[in-house]
Amino acid sequence: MNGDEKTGRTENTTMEASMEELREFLEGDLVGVRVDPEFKERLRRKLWELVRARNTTPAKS
Amino acid sequence: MPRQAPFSSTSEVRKLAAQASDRELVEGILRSSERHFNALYERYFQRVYGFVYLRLRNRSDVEEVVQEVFTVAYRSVGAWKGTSSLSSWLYGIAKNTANNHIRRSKAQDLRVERAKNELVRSHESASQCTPEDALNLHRCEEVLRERLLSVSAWHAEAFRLRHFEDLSIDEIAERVSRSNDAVRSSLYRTKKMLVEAIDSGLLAAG
Repeated sequence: MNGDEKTGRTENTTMEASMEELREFLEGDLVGVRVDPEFKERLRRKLWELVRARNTTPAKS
Repeated sequence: MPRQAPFSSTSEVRKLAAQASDRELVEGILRSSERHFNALYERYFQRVYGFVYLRLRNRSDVEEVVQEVFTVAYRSVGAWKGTSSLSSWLYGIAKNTANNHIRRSKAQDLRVERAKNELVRSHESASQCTPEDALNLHRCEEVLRERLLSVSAWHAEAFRLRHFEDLSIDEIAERVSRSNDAVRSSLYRTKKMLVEAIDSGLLAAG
């Protein structure tokens, strides 16, 4: 899959989100579930590595 | 030397998360700014986690899906053009990822049920099968036996109680002295392993 296809798909997907669905998403902020801080931090590091690697890798022509 | 707090929880990041627009944060991430990256993570982590939790209710499944959501989001953050809000863009990714996970789990449950029924049928007709069928069945059983030996006793017990005694998650949790989440997670992982074992057994049997 190339980047353009991915772009189109994610934009279309989000355009279809109804207000009701977005409200459901916002409610995620209010869910009182305890998050494992180690998981959160481990994921943060992993994602940052991913972003850094992606930004430093030259795009293929 | 005092232990340094994770960068994502520093007051500077919280301040940035509270003040900067989504567009500013995304532009920062594309410039490899860790501050902006952390601020976006801080802004949306709880929302995504809570949303996924409401759909799946199982901590290990939730963590798996949350990781997938953020991986997809950060990998394709440059694709967000701002025609919709970042929140609704993330919502689309979170909803699709959670739904795919649910579908995969259901499909896996179905495969386990079919495999179980197949084994029962094979057992019933073992006396009528050809020598080649019997050999294939024997190979599958060998693989399954090996894999079951590799899981700890309580995982095997939980699996047996669920699939051979049809006990509920609550009943199993009480019997094996674990939380409901731990039992669900154990059942999921054991099932996954057995499905893979059955597949590899059948593959080896040709």
